Amino acid sequence: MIEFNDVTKVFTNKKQQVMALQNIDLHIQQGDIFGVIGYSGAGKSTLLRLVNALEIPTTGEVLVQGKNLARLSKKELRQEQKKIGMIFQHFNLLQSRNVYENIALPLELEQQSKVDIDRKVKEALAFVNLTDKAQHFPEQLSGGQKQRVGIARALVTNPELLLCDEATSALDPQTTIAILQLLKRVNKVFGITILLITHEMEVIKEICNRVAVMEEGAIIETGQVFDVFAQPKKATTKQFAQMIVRDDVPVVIHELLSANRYQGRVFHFKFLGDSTGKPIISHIAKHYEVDLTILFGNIMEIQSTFFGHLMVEIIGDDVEIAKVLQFAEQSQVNIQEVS
Amino acid sequence: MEISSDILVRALQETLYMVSVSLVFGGIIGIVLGVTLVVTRKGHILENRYVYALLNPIVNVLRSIPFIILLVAIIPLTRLIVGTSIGTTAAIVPLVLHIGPYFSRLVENSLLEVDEGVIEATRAMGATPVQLIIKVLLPEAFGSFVLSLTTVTISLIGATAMAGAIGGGGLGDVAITYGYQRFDTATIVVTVVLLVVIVQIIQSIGNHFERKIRRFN
Repeated sequence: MIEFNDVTKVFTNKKQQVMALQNIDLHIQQGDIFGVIGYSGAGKSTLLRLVNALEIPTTGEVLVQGKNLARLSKKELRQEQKKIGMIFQHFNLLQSRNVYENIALPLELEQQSKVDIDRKVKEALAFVNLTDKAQHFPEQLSGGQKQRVGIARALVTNPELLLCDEATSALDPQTTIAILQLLKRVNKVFGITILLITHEMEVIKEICNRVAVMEEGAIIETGQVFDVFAQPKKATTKQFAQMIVRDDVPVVIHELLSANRYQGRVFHFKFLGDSTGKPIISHIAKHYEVDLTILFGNIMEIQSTFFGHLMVEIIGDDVEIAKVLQFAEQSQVNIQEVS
Repeated sequence: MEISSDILVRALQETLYMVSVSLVFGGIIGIVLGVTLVVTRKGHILENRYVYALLNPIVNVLRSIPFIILLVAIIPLTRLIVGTSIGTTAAIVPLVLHIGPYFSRLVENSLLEVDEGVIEATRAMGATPVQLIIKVLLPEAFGSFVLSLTTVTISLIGATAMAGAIGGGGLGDVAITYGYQRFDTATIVVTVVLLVVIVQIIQSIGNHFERKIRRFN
């Protein structure tokens, strides 16, 4: 669907050059909800704007459905841009038009008939559940409603691709969830591929199936959301992972340990995928001469895969504990002793 | 007061004639120039260094010539366009040249205030530059245009007072020739009051429409 082949983008100011993107290689499949996460200034925004040719790469090529938009004539480019919807952090609705007229704008640009426009706008309004607000002006709407108008405006031309530029960053947490659910429906119902950029881990966790992590204009990790964040490799990825996967050892456990307040040894069990559903703890209690105390733990879900971690105190002799560790390893549980 | 009401009524008609015709032509020139100044800027939709570098100083020069000088300086041009260099119609040419560039700066300011995000969103929809100007830039700036137009109309009324210098007539001319030069204070007072009333009315109308347009934005 979208291919970045060794893309570099340099912005030239009066005296200095800024490398916004370097050596980007990225493939986004049809039907994906692909998230690009990074801190501000990482180059996400530029990356997104290369897709609908609001920016042109300095070197390399960006292909959308096999077409290099940078090579098209202006007329052909406009034709392709109409197949790509875009929504924005600050919604970017026209203040001079009401909701209905805002959604009608892309169709007016295509010079469609009034009858067609009316039908399509009403369909789009119904899809985002704003039929009763058709005659309102953007100023009278809440942030979530404005974004729904933005989504309706982006969908009214039946695009194949939807670009989301920090679409939920200006919204409160509850509205964010509602908008994300709506985007998920857009993906499911119309089969529209979604490419979104965000700095909120919540967004990635909630709707994306694939993710790329960006830092200083480069993609540092990419893959299935679960794989990337269950076992992050780079420091920045780890920081993002920490926002949703709270698997750090609580400070109080360290304190109690150093004060020698535990009878046994403390281990950090990490369950990934399949191992999360197995009765591993009860098996250990039944088959080995040890006592177990669960000190702390949680289980979360990323993209329908479970991910858990437990702080367990094991009381028993070292030989028996070694057997436990061996069993756990065979069961694909990652274990580290906490000291 | 030594003048008849006939003279006053005719002067009032002349003033309104000069103001309204200059406003139509000045308004068109102002909008075209203002839009061009904005869209040919660096980084804008029709970026064009040469057009901008040509228009920008022309506007500045026209804006910096005092109207009374402009009035006589362009007499040959006036004669070329309207066939005469004296009279009410002849005054319209310098008035348009005076007010067009002024209005264009106000239009430019209003257009630059249009949210860049909205422009980007429209570009992303695959709009042509002309569509962007007509469907987005101008409507989004419309409320602010109305206020600018009010300001421009009021300065036009001020400028018409000087049109007497080339026989343009109008209320200002009456105040000078009948009031000042014949020491008839009453005439000056009456014409000034009339001008004040006209300006007040125009300002109120402008404010009213601006509020109406901006009610929801």
